[in-house]
Amino acid sequence: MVSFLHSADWQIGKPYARVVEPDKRARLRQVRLEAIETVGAVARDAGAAFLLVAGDLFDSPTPSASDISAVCFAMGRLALPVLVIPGNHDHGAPGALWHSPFFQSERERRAPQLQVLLARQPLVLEQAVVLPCPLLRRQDTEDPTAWLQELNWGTVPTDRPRIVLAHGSVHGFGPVDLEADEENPAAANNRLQLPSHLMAEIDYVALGDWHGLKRVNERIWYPGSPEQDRFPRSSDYRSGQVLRVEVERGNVPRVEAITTGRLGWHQLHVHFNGDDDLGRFEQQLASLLGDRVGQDLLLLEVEGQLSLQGQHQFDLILEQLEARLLRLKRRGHPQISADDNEVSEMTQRPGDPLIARVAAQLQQRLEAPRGEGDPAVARLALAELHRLVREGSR
Amino acid sequence: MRLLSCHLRRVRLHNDLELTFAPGLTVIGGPNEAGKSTLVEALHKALFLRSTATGQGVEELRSRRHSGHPEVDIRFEAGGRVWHLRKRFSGASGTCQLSHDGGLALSGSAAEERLATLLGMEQPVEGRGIRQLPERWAHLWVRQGEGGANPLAGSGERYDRHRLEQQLQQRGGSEALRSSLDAQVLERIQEQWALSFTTTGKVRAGSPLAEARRREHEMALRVHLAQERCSELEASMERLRMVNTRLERIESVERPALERRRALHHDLKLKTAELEPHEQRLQLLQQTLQQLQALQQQRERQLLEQRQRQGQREQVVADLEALRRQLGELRSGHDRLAAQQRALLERQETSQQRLELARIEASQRQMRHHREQFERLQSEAEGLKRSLADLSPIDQEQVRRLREAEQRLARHQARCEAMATSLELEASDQAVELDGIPWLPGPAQILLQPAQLTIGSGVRLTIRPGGGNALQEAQRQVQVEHRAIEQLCTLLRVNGSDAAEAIERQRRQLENELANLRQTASTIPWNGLVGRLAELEARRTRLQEALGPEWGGEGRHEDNDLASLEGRLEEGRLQILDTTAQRESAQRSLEAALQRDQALQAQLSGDQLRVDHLEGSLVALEGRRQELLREHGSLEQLSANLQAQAGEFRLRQQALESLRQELRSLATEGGEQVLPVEELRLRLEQEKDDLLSRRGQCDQLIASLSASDPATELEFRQAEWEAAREDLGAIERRSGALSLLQTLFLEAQSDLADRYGTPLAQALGPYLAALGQQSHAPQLGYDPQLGFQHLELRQGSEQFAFERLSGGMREQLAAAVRLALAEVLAPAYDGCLPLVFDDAFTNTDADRLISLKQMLALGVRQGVQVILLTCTPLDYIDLCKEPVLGTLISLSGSTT
Repeated sequence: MVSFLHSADWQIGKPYARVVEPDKRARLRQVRLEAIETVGAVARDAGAAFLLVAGDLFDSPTPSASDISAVCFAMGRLALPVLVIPGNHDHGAPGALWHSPFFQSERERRAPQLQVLLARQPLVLEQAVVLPCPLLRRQDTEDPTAWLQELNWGTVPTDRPRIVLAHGSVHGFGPVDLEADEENPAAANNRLQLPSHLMAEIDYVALGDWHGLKRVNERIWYPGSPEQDRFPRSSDYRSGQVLRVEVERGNVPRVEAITTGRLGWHQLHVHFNGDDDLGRFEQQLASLLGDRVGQDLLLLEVEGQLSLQGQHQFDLILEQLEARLLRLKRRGHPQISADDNEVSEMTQRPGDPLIARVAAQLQQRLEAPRGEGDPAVARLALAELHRLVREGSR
Repeated sequence: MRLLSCHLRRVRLHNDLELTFAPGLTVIGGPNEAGKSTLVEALHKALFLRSTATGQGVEELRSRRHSGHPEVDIRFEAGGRVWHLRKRFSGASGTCQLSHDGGLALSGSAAEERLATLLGMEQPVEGRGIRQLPERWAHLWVRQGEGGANPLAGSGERYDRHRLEQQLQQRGGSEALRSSLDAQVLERIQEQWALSFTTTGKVRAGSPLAEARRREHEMALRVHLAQERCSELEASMERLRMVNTRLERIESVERPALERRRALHHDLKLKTAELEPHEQRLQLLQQTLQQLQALQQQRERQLLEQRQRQGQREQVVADLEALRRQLGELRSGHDRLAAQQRALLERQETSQQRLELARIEASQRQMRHHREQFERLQSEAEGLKRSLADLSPIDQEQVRRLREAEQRLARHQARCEAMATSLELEASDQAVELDGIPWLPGPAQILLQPAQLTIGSGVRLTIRPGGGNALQEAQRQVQVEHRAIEQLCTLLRVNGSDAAEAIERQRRQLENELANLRQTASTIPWNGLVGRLAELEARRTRLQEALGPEWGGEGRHEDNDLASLEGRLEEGRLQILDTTAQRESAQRSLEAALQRDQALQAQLSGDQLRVDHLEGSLVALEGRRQELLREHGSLEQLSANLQAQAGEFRLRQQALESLRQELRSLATEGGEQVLPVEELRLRLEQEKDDLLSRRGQCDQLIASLSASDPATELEFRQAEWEAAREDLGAIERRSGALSLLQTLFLEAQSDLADRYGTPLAQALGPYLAALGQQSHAPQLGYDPQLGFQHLELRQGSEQFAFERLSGGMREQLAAAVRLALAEVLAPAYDGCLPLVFDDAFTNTDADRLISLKQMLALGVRQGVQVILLTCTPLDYIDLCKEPVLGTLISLSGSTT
């Protein structure tokens, strides 16, 4: 029986380019580095014999020197062997970081217990046999686990558990299709074939690539990223943990997820039926974020309508929200439609015939079931007219 | 505003001109150069040009005849008061005084400004702005030559557009075109719109929209570049992988293989060199053995041949003897056949002569027979000729004539009989006499002519047959015919036609027989018969002589039978042919035997030669064989030696072959062509160098590409691009909103503007009606930016733009528009405006003048003050009567 930690997709150096403020970007990147320390603590607590990182330790095959140093430094402080394979983001092609003299010297100097597995051959440890399936290019037409099918299992020790370490999608579960979004495009789709006759020789498959926790079956697991890095696309999406695995040869492993994530990635969907819903919206925010500052990211999906005045108020709320969040990502806008008062303020103007007529026409366009032109443009035009009239009337 | 009077001093030719204007129409007449236009200009400048103005505008007013500065006084009604304006144009020192009947008196700028306000202006025209002057009240002040100009052309200032719109609004009861807030908002929209677009609607360079588009484009490009960098990095890594793989293969596989090949080559060379003396020895032995074997074989062959040749020779000798015997037989047989042939030929000749003799004799017999036949025919013909001479010479024609005469006679007799009377005395007891000849009962009597019948003594009867003369004629004919027949019979020496016919037939038969004889005689070749006979006789005699006396015997006739002779001759001929063939065959056999004889003799001599030659050769061969045996031992010894040597050689060769095999397998391992090892090694070194340099390049490229992480770079560029797209979207939406607002504003304004064109056109209507143009509907467009436009008349579906109208029509339509404008604008000017026409109807003919005057009268009725300056004032004299009651002023100074 051996106990170890299974993690993956640390993606150190992920730039978070869509976070506009550099400080917030730096914070997000820093949190990912700090996660290593958290994982180390979990390992100590769990009495893990070693830590497996199933690919994508870095976000790129050519990360910055500072990221390399920082990772080696953090790794060196972990008191257990760490076995890493390259994933699609940090693949092991020649010229990639793993071969660079800088990484090699940093590893030797700062994290001698860190071992990068670039060869597809069994690694016999004292407690287990690790079968690494590193990705040697971003998108490999060859199945990185193919070598297992040709392996002479007679040569593999039978007295300790056999652990496959791989990165990609398995039959029936494709992270690429499920997880990619406009900010995280599908980088590659490396398919792994793990047929049942092969599984009979294996005790545990430590996978990476899917950033959420996923149990493919009792022996095949994705741990997810130790620190969440994207907005969840479904309610059962869990990220920000490592797996503690207890396994012995021939028995079903015992797997436990231990939370490591610190940042809150939230998603909020709001529908405004009018300005009155703004209060409700503020309450929702309060319950979601409490009084935390600088620890959350929010994907705000908005639809519905607000008055011209309501829109102004909504903008103020968002302004405050942006200040306290690490990131506010907006999807959709409330439709700014002048309320009755605002409309009549513009249309009931016998003294200003042009304004009245134009406002009435715009309103008519918006009310028509299939109005001509882009309703967003008409709405904006109405808001602009309202603003100009207000300005002129002062 | 209504002009009441004016007083001009020292204004060009007018030293002192004072005029009073009628409230309605004032016609000011005067010849050319009477100062009408000066008056019009002076009034206009007094009203609109600042008194302190300098320059051309003022200089034009100066009089050259009268000293002093020009001065204009005008009295007018406005704002419910009577005003008095006095302006003195003396350059910068010019003065202006304005007072009204309520006691207000203004001077200088105050006066000027008040005056401007009264006239609906903000300021009077300054000297330097003299070009603006004609614009002032251009719709009311029609200068000479401008009668046909469109009063609504040009800027709105020319026709007091602002007040006109106000008046039209009030007149139509419609809402205002736009408020000041409307205008302000529109202006703001246009300002903002103009930031992004040019007047033609294109995106303005440098505008936020253009900038956002440029930025979006640039960002897309940067994303593309970042993607390319990522791809390039991946590609470089892939290249590096290939270079490494190749280098590894060279080091671990190809170079060792090449080294091994080199060693093998060396070994091979060495072994090959070692093998050489063995091979040479082996070859020598093999050669000797072969030589010996060859010698032996040759000897055996020659011995065998020698034996064969001898046997052959004996056979030939025997053959030759047999042949010679055969030859003798053949010769005698041939001679016998030749003799037989000769005898046969002789016999054949005799038979031929006999046949000819027989033929001659047959011909002789034939000829003699012919001669007899001919003679017999001649005697028969003589007999026939004699018989013919005995017969009367009666021909067929004569027989026919005789027969016809007899037939005619019979016919005439029958006629006579038919006409004759037949009397038959059957019984009589009295003597009956006929023509005195007693008539006894018996056959009937035929009477051909009257006859006297006497019966007894007492009865005498004359009996006359019928027919009258015809009977007599018939009797005469009978007699004629009788005579004719008798003559013919006498001539022919016959008693009737039958006899004549018999003789004629007999004669014809005889003649035929004679002809037949002649025919028969002609077939006999009797001509020259005797000569030919003699000739044949001579030939017969010759033949008989040739055949000899034995050919005169008794049996000769049998032999001479032609058919049998011919048969024997044919038989003889066949015998000869047969014999000839036999003889020829015998000849050929003989010749063949002779040839064979010669051949056998030749063979015999050839064989002899060869046998002699073989004998010599065998001696030589034996000599050489003995020599070799002496030298190398026996054949068995030699073979054993050879086998031993060959075994060793094979072993060495096998070793060599296995070396070669290994070398070949090494050379073809990589599928490469077989090349010298050294060349391959050089190539490999070259490739390795290349690969190392490529690896260096790849390393360098990867290092440079990954200096700033391309993946991070790409994400940043994508984020920037998204932001730029969002920005662009927002700006485009905002620009769209502004465009929409501007479009809607202008449309709304244009909609409202239609409400101006209509009332003005309506005001114009009555004037056109007065002109007699009821059928022409005036049309007028209005553009909030450009003012009134597109003045045109419409008749039915046809439109006539102002500019396309005739000169006269333009003058009248322009006047109508001006009247309408003055009428519409009047309420803004205290209910009245003056309208000055200076010689404005020069193109209007006398017919149109009436309607023109009616239109002017209508204007006056509508409250317009019309001041008309003309060279022909009398044309308008009727307007000075009821109901218009206009005033006519002559510019000589006198007032009527």
